[in-house]
Amino acid sequence: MSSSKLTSLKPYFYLLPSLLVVFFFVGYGLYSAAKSSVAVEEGQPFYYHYQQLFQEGVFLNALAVSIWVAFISTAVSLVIGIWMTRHLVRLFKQDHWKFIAWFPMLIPHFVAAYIVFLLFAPSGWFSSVAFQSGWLENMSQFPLLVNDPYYIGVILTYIWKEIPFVILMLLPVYQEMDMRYEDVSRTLGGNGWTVFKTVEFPWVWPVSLEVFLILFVFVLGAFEVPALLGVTYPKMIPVLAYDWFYQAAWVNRPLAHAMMVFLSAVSLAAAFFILTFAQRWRSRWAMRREEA
Amino acid sequence: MIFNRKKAAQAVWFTGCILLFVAPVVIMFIKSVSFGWSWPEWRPDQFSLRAWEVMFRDPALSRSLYVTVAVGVSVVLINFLIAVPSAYALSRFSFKGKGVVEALLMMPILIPVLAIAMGMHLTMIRLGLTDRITGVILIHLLPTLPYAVRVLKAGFDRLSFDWEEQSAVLGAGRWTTFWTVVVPLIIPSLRSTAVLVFVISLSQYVLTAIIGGGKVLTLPMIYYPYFNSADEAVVAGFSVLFALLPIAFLIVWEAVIKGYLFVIRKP
Amino acid sequence: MLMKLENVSKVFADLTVFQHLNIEVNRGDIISLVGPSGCGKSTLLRSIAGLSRVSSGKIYIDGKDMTSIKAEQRPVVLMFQQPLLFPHLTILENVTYGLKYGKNKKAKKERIERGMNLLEKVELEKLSGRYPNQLSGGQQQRVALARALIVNPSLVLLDEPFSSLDPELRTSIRTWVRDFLKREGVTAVFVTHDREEAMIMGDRIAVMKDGKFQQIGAPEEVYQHPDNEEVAEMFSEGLYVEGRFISAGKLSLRPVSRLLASDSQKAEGIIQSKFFKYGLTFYHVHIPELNQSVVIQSNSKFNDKEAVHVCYKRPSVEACDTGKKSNWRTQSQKNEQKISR
Repeated sequence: MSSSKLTSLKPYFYLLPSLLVVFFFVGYGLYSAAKSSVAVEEGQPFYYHYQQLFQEGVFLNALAVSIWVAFISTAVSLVIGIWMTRHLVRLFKQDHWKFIAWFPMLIPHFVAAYIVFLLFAPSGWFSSVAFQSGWLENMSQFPLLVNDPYYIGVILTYIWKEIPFVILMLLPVYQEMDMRYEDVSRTLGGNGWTVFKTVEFPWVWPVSLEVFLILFVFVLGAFEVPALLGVTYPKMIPVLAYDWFYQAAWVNRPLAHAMMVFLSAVSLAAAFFILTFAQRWRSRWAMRREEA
Repeated sequence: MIFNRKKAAQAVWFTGCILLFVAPVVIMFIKSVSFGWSWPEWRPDQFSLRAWEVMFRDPALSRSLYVTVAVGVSVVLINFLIAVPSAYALSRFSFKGKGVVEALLMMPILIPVLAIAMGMHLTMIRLGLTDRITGVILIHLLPTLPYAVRVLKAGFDRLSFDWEEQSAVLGAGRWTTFWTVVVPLIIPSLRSTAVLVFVISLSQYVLTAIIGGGKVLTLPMIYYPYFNSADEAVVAGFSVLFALLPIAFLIVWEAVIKGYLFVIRKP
Repeated sequence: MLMKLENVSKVFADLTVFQHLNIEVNRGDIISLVGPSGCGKSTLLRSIAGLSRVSSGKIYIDGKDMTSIKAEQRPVVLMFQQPLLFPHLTILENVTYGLKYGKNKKAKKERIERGMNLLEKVELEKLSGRYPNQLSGGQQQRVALARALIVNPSLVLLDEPFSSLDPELRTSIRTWVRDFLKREGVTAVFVTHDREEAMIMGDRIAVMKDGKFQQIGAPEEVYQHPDNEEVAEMFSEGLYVEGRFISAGKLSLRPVSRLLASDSQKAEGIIQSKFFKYGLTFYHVHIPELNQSVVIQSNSKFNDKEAVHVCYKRPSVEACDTGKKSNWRTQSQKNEQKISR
């Protein structure tokens, strides 16, 4: 019957606009970036720019510092976020506190960067407080926490911004969790850590992986914060790519494209593995629960 | 006894959250209305609105404020237009290839937007979309759409289909049901989506810079050069402005929703 | 005749929800549709409302073929288990919802008039300006009823509308709803899995199991003379003896020592437990030779584990009374079937 066929096509029809946007930008954008990255002169192999890239010490250092920043800031946000969520859910039945915890989500990343600068710069608020308390005699004694080669300021910014995101993603998990298991575990003599390991971890783990992925990939590819709080050397990958992209005469454009295509490939591979792993964990866990 | 311990713990956590999440923004605000507050004073001794006056006397700022709001609101509206049907389909129908579609819609947040913007740059020039607000609005869909679909899908998932069926058996068609029952019931999700999308759009520097070609001057475009300027109070004020915009947006949003409910609410 | 189902079936590739259903409902009648969960009764109700399509067969309402008409076009309102009052609308706005859009659209003045009129009938006119969350569960269901009736539907379908209420409230509101529907002359189909509720609500009872109507008839008829074992098990109380059904009301208990001459038909039983209800004493009796248990009221006193005689009239008399062809399987047949399964 034609009407039932129409009904079965309905969801695709509803999804069409979103898919078009994604195909146009992601599909086509990535395709042209890849094409530009293999646009080589006569006599060079098509992977010439990639070869160049991996011989570039600037790039390797950028890659290292990017992974460092992404990993540390994501891991710390996740741990603190989970820790806060499990306490907040137990303490507060109402959801009013949520607004406070989510407040940083209203603040753009670069403003968060400014806040970190305001607080942690050698001329910042904490430095002033330290001076007033007599812990230091002048500005230069304050540790270098912004525009520093270890990207501490950038990491602090991301942690401040991403903890609320972690809470936002994990809150539904904790609210759906059957807290009676916790009572069982506690009556059997489990302490806080045991409870987390045996009761909460199986629920929290797959979502945490997903959150880790989203944040890790985001930090790896985001330009806004390191552009403000980074240093000239080493640069994070997005800042380096932006520099190369706009360098005089566009000579480094293919290299910038190659770098970003490489980063996209790494991100996609990470996404594939993490999501597959999370999926497998989820189904295995579901099976085990059914058996129990 | 237990009750009191819980109360105390609540108070500690509440204070902790305020100190961690809200206090830094308050310090920033104080900085913007302070006068001559610099190291090593831990608090200002004079207040003044000078920084705010300087900011708003700058014609570039008020122009880009207008551009920013226009871009942000357009991005929110277009997101609703395309994300609501998609989220509805993902939540209400089961169909072939659903998993693939969901993965595809996540793509823009799994791939660095910078890679895509750089790749699109030449094409957008050819299409005549660079240096124009249209191009900027379109490219802002990229980092926002996946979140919009996700939040709205979660909203539809929580809304029982019974409501729509109840409306249908009372004689309302699908379209009427959508506007008079579904929309009012997913207002919390709509609000989250709107604010999230607006803030993400407001936070874009590099996408706007590449696609806007330095001609579409949103607030971040003039904020970056300001960042290292000597006038700290002005930078602080500018930063506060970014925090105020989503709040202002939220207030206007709530008013619009109130109006909408008033219109559909008739005895 | 107001509604007629003609050979209605709902079949999926690997699952039959219901098959070949036929029923006719007269104007003003209330039909109780009773059956265990998963027997297809809710799906049938949704099909009549137009929320679910049937695979074959015809649905007639008011003499018109409604089989392929959309839910919003049918003169039928379905009330769900939950009141589902729209939380963003006041009570009055909820009640008049059906008159605001679609085929029953009316002018504002008439809407308010009819809405207030119905709210008066459900005795909630004072709460017209409140919001649903300010009302109790029972009040919410009454508002839902008013909202359903405002469009003057030819047929009202109620899908276990009291199941979310606590038992005490449930008892009082169902009598109220029944009287209300009768007073308004509303034709209704009422789904429940509660036997007592089905008898209180329905002029007629349709017993459904395994996707089929097992029996349709007046409550007393179905209770006293169940057509088959399934109906007896679900809807009635009594014993099957030699392939016949004997209602519990026709059974009596005698101490083993005091058998009367007239008690020609008897079985030996053991008292399991007793309880008191309506001022009377009831005994759970197990009858080993029939491998059945039954609840019997008795004025004599018995102790737990005491052996008794369960006495009954000749089953053949029962069979003659009904004048129906028996389709009872004998106990041995039943056992055979169990083994072969």
